[in-house]
Amino acid sequence: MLLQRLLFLLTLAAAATAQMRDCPGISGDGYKVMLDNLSVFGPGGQTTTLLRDRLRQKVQFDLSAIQLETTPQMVLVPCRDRAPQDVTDFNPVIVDSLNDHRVLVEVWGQIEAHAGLSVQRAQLNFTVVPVNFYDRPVVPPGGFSTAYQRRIGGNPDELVKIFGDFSDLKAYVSIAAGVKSLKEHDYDQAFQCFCRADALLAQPPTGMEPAVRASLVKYVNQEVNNAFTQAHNDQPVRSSLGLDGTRPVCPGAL
Amino acid sequence: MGADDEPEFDDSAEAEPPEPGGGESGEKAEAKGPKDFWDKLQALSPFVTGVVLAAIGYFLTGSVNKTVQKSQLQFNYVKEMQELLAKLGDSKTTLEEAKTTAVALAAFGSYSIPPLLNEIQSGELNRPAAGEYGLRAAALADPANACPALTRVLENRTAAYNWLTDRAAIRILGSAGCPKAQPVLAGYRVRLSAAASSPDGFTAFQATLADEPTVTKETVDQLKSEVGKSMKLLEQAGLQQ
Repeated sequence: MLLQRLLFLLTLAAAATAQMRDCPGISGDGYKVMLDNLSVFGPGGQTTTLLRDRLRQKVQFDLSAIQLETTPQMVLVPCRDRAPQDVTDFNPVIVDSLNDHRVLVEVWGQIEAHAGLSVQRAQLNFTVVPVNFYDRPVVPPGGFSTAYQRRIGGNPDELVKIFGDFSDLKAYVSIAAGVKSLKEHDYDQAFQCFCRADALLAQPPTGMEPAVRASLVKYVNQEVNNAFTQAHNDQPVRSSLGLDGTRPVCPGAL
Repeated sequence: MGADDEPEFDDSAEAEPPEPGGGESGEKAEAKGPKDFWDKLQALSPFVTGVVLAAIGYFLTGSVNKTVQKSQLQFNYVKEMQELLAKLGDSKTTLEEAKTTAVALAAFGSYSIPPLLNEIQSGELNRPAAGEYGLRAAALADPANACPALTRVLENRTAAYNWLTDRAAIRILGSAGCPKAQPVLAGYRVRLSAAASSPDGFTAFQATLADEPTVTKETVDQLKSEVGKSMKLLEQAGLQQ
């Protein structure tokens, strides 16, 4: 019993020290999406490790797909040694540092797996860096996250299937790219990103809470207005936005 | 053999009579007279030379000893700092650990300034934040050495530093209340205004900083805001004095 407790404490200590480690490969140029290691809770075992690997592959695959269709281009940075435990790990110093390195979103999460039980849970969390840095009140108290739960029959691929096409991740990345472009005075790009985010939020993303979605829709509209106003007032920057003094409408919007 | 055959001897020397009153008896007479300044100096010169040589020796030895001790100290510091720097450079070190290590580095005073500046330049996530934290501690403890080093960072235009280092220098100059930093910050603000007002000004400003991380217009806005904050802090410090 004592040995078990000791092992548990040691595991906790190891998890605590694994929290916010550095991420090699972050120093390159361009926008970045960071993919952290996914923490595993519970006794785990071979199935959990397999599940974690599959999940990581799936996230990596979907982020690669986002890169193909999103402007501006971004780099996927895998951070194997970095495993945040809680939203409080993202204190202002860390968010400041991420923003300095043009990180748009940091994806991290946990898998809860119990051997012998048929229900497996996974949670993906998204730290939308520019929103955290500039508009902290928009971030829900527990951060942006998506929880997945599935009764599985010993096949880890079943959980991976329900992650769908990660439309919520696409929405977060688009919002982050919009805010970052706006702060970098690239108003045309900001407008495009916000319009894309608006379109993605219009088709309810799989794992996003309705209240969070509503709040983000409001935020995106407000930022579109900001992009228009700033483009109009920023004389040294040439932007097609607001040239004629009218607020532009997102392509495809009614 | 006749008289002519006799060899001729030059005996003139023998014929000279001895000098009256000359020789030893004359020297004795001179010694007995009053000694002038030069005589005294001549008499004292070996002693004075000895004292001067001893003094030069003493000061030289002291100076050499000091230099040797300083080099030894520097060498010891480098050895001791090496461990801390290795810990900071380890990718497994968390931000909190890195900050603690940086503060330990700051305890080495002025010796810690170059490595801490280097940490900010590292291009990673935790090390720049930790480096700035340590540098602030060093500046608060030893402003006499840290303030000139930080103003030199802002004056540099050879792209030796990245914008994170400049930002750290701006922040610390303000928080440490470096008294001579105000004109340097004012000059930096002029450069930032030029960068914000035209694409050419921006390109010129970009060229004065290292490439990584990229300097964007967001960077210029951030630096302007930090300069404003630090100027305000320095004004407050001036009023307090």
